[in-house]
Amino acid sequence: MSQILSLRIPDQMVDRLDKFARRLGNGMTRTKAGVMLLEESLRETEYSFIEFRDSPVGRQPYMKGSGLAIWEVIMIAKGFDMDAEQIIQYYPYPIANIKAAINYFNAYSEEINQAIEDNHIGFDSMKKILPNIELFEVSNEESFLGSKR
Amino acid sequence: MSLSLLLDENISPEIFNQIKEKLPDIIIETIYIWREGIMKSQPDEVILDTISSERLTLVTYDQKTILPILMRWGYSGKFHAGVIFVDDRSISSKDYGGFIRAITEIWDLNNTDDWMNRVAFLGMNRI
Repeated sequence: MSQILSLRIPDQMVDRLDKFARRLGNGMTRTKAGVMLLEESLRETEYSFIEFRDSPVGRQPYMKGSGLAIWEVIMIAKGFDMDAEQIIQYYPYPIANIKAAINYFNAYSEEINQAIEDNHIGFDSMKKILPNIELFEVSNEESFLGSKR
Repeated sequence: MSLSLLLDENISPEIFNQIKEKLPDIIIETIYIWREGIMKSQPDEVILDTISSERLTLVTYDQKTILPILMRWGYSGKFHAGVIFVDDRSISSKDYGGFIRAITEIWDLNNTDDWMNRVAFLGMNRI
């Protein structure tokens, strides 16, 4: 469900919004860009230590004070059963920032899980894009095979 | 130009400490302390650009953001100093031992190679 909302916006702000929409590309319209910015701004207001930034894969939520997208924090956090005390042994950030990332994940888990899944590109898919990529295989055991293809 | 590694922000500085302890001669940095950590919150493209000029090979868990940068740079002929992708399904975040073993072996086998524009993927052999 959605509603039509009338807003009186200064001309100069409309120009900036149009410029922002053009920068995002992919047919982004003024309206879509405005709704997106509003949504991001509301999330930043509702969740501390979260901020949206541009990235090569579009706008993403990041953990404030770091270069880590929320999906990067959660990808690692899952290895530590989402336990903030354990996660700060891995990521040297204040525990409040880590807890904030977990709070955000709890609210938007589908988006973040999708982002983590998107990160699992894998060797075979990468090889189609980067034909010269090399595979180094490690084993579960103490020995390292070091094979390449 | 031999291999010099830089661990991305998604790799714990504790792993860096343990690698240095195990292999004191390895040339390795972590973004947490390299240049007093100034690059820590920078966009990935800025980091890759800066470290490439310093001939540092990036080691990262981030496949989805770095890959499009490498594609774009490849098309435009821009060079980088090498990227090593790690998959968290191959080497999980808490498998410090597996990560350290893999980096140690890559270093032992490849540290005299030229890593310019080279890309490697660390996978798990489950045999």
